[in-house]
Amino acid sequence: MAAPARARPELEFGAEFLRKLEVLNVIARKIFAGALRADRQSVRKGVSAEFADHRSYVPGDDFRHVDWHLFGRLEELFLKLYKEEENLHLTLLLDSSLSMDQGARNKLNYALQVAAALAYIGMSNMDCVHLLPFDRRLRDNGLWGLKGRGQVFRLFDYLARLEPAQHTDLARSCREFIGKTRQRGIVVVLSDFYDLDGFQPGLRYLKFPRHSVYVLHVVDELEERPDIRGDLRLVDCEAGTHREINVTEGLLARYEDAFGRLARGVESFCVRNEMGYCLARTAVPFDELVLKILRRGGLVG
Amino acid sequence: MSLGAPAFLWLLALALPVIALYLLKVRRRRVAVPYLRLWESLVQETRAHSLFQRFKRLLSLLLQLVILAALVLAMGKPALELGALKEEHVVLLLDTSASMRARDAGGTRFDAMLERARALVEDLGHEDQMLVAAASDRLDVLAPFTRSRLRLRQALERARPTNRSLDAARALAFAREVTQDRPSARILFLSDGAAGGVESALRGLEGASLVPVGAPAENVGILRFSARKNSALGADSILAVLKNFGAEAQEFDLELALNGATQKVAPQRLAPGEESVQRFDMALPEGGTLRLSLALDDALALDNTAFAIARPDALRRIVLVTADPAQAQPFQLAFESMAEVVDPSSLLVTPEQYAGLDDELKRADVTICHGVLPPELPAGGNLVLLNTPLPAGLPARIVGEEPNPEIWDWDRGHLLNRYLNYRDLPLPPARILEVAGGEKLVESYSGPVIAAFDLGGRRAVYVAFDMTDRLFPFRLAFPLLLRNAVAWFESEADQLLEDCYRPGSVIRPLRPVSGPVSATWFTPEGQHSETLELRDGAFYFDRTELPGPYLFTVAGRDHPTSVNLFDAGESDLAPPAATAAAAPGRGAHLLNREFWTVLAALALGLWALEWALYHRRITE
Repeated sequence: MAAPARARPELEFGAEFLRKLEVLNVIARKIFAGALRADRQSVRKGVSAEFADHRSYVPGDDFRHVDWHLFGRLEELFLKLYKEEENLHLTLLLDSSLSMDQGARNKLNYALQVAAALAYIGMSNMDCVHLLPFDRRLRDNGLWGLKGRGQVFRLFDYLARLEPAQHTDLARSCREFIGKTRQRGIVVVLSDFYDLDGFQPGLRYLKFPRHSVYVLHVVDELEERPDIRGDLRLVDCEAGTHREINVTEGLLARYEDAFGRLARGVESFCVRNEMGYCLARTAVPFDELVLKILRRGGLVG
Repeated sequence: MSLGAPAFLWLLALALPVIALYLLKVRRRRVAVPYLRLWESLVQETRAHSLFQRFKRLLSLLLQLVILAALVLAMGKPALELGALKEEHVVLLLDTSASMRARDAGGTRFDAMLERARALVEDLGHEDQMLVAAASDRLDVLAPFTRSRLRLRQALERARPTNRSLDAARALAFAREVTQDRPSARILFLSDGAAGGVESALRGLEGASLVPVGAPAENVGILRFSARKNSALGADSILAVLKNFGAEAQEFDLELALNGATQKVAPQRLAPGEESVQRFDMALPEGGTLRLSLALDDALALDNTAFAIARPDALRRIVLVTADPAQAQPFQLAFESMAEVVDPSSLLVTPEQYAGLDDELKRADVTICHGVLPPELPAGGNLVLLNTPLPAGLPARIVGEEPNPEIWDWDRGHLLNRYLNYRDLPLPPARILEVAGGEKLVESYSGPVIAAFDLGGRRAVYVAFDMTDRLFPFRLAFPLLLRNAVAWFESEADQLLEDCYRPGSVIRPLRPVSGPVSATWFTPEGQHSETLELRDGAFYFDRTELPGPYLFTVAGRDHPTSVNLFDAGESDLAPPAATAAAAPGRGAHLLNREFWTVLAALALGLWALEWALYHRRITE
């Protein structure tokens, strides 16, 4: 926020990023292999036997799904994955408004990295991943139905080209989202929740189809403690409105209090509405954040 | 308040760019924020402070303008005056009397006084006016009231120490006179404070104060030095009065010289504060210039030397006119006893013989008429009339006779009666006088029998009895009365000038003179002579600044005199009394001084305040 004119750094999904995602994927599999699979079986009915993919066996996997034929040829354990069994829908609602294009570490870039990681993990587990950016409405070019690691580069390419625009209208975007899909699933909302009309209506929309909602509140350190002083003209980066304010130490202290109340307001709303909540500070490396999210487990509700 | 350099006020125009810069400075920097509403909610909370914030921003501008004004004023050399910020008139009196020549540590008192005076001039406010005057026994205005420090400094440069005495009352009267119509006036008297009654003159004088100068000093001074003919002793009596004004005993040699030749050297020792009277009896028939000097290196050298005039013995030509020369033997005996004063060419004649004398022989200093008057009294000289008819023009007349006169009183202080006691002195039969215009010197119970007359240019003594009758010629009173008469005549007859004058005084003759007049005096550069102009029988000579012998030649006859300090007040170099009134020093005139440094410090302080308020963003 202190350097608003600074251009958004180019986001690269290179080999290093891919290596981090693979590590996260392995960890995620260890965490969720048992419980997650059982939960899915219990939740879903009429599981199909249509083969979809193999994956390496990890301790804890159900021996019933081991491909013994493949073991006989390769002497290595692989699990058979079936499409009908991976009928989980993971939707990533990504705030790509102009307010996300702010921060000492660009919030949008950070959110893109987190979204890429979550999507990769989901795609690796043959979940049906939807990556849907939104600003004042749901963007038309969102990625629907990503499955399997084979589409990971499509995902990266899409994320790399995503540009911030418009202001945030979370309610309209969520309303459009639930109008386009009837399948229940996990909805992860990555946003700074700077909505002039309030974030509450939008999140409430997501509860109606009984989605499992997980909120990632993206926050930059300069939003928490702005590094500005003096007589300034503060310009809203989304609405373009401005106000002349003499920023003093006293005002900054009150701002920090107000910002803390705003963040706690989002969290308390999520708790009250049985939504998962995680404060995503850009200062925390995205892989640590994803790991934290996975370990808390709320993401798969 | 006044400005020493008002041209700098043009720099106040810099206020315009300051305001412009202020306006530019308050154009706000644009900062993009993701959610302005959050800030707006806070601003609404603090809306109540907005007016105060605006005021503080305005305060910042005002502070900058005040800083500029303070700096410009500081460059303008502002000065405040004491009192109700109005001009003040200061009379600076400089003591230039002889005591200011005294040596203190580092120089003379006069030098120290000038230094102090310069400081006072520098302390003068720009609207103040100062008058500088040099005060001794007279007053010299060195600079009239002026604001110009240059003129005041030049006036101080013109000040010179004198050998004169100080007349503080006169100086203060002048200062009071020139300041009486001025509402705000001060009188500063720079003096060593001891002489001239400065302290007493200042006491009770509002607005006047003593600025003391000088330090304690050791000094021995000659307070009196004179020489007198002592007819009784037939010698000259030389009198000197010395005093030690210091705090320590002094030992020195006292040297007496006549015409430059040392006559006597006497060792002296004077205790602190001791006054000593020295008398020397010396036969000085030729007279001359006496010099008394102290072989002493004290603080004031001026009073270590004094001069006196020893007058030569004067022989008086006496013409005695008597009807019976055979009765004149007592007179001849008396004249023989007065050989040191009686000219050998004196005559004893009868009235007839006197009538046949030519004018040169008739010329006498004293004509004594014994019982008779010559047909025509001499035109000049003095007269002693012994039981003669009263001549015309003598303001007295005979009112009776007394066969046995008894004296009941006489003028004991008159020179004619010196050493005489008439109480038991039998007198011959006498006439009784009625004196109209003279002095009754001896009176019997019936009336005056001896009288003295001053006839304007000549003197006369009338004795109303025959001094050669009965046993009176065998009395001591006979020659004494004659000697006293001659002494009384000569005491004033040749005295044209005073024996001694003060430095700086005007020398004028005691009686009308005629003929060419010249003055001769001595300075360190040598002997000087000047012909003096006569006006109405008098001359005026005022170049008497230097102590020493002075010689005036009138009609070919020399009349020496001397100039000496002889002022105990000037010789007394006792430490100046503590400031009787509030003597102003440099600190006392703080408000009168330029205070640009105060303004500069104010500007610096305000700049720091502005920096703290604005640049440190403490304002809200």
